[in-house]
Amino acid sequence: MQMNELNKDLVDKIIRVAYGDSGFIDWIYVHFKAITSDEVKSLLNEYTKSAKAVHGLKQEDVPAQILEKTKNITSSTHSNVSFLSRIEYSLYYLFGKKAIPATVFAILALFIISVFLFRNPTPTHKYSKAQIELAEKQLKQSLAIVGKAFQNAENSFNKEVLKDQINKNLNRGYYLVNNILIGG
Amino acid sequence: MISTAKFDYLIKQHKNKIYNYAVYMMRNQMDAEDITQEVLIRTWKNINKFNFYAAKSWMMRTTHNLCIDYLRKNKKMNYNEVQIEEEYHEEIADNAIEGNPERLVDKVFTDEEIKTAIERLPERIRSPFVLYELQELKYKEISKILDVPLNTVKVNIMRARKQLQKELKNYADERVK
Repeated sequence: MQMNELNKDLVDKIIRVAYGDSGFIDWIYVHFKAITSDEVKSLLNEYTKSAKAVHGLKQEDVPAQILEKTKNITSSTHSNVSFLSRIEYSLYYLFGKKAIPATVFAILALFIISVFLFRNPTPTHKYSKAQIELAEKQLKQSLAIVGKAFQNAENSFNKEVLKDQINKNLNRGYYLVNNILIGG
Repeated sequence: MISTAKFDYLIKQHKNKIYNYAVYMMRNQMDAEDITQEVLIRTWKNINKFNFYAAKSWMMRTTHNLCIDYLRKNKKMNYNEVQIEEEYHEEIADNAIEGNPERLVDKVFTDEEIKTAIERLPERIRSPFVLYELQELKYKEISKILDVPLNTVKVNIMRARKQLQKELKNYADERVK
């Protein structure tokens, strides 16, 4: 069977997978096809080999004399590079690389978050002994009022609600059940 | 003075990209060296005219335009190549996958063979291929540099891959003979 019997769309997908710029779904699809079809497998291997060879090519360096010639042409302003220019050059170099600004940003963000999270400000205002005693006294009074209110609520619940509303009805219910079961 | 620092940085970062692209486009080192030097000088002259982050595209576009000018002046551009690019038939590239694929798979190509095969590609599909596969530029950047629609870039890269496969198959066939 001839390779060109494969449809164009599939061939394009195979090539993209081989050159490593396909989507994930295409990658799965082509590899699945490669398992079931020898043609696809062969074609994928061919293109993968070529792609590896192309991507493995090394870049040649510019001949030194070209750089020298260029330097000579631009030398009039090239000889004196100020301190400020050096700083800017360093910044260009640092921020020209994506990883470095990302790292700097991450460190700064981490630092700011840490400052906010672990900051424990010490109280600056100091209270006198008399003020503290007064506060304690007021606190006790407040708690006593609350305690009394709870006590009153408990008493009224025991005496009125539990006795009159619940116990009576419960007794009446037991009485009725006894009558029904035992038969009076 | 600031422009000197900017220039130094740009040269350091992009000089090899410019040179290698010129080599693939011109197919000879002498012309590639001339173009590289010209691009560097133009970069120096225009250093304050372009944005720092657009510099790479600017330099590559200048390189590409100079290559095209050189090729036209020296009449190195084969007229037939242009026609092939415009009316490219998919069958041409698809023929590359005919025959015995194992024969191609089993061969390991040298760097020189690969480079020659790339240089044999027609200009219009060679330039996006080199920029994408070797210079690792993005489709969008290539589209700006070559001043062609994004889809054309993608299509031409695909055509170049198929054509390259055909060229490599020819090498494999020659070896067998």
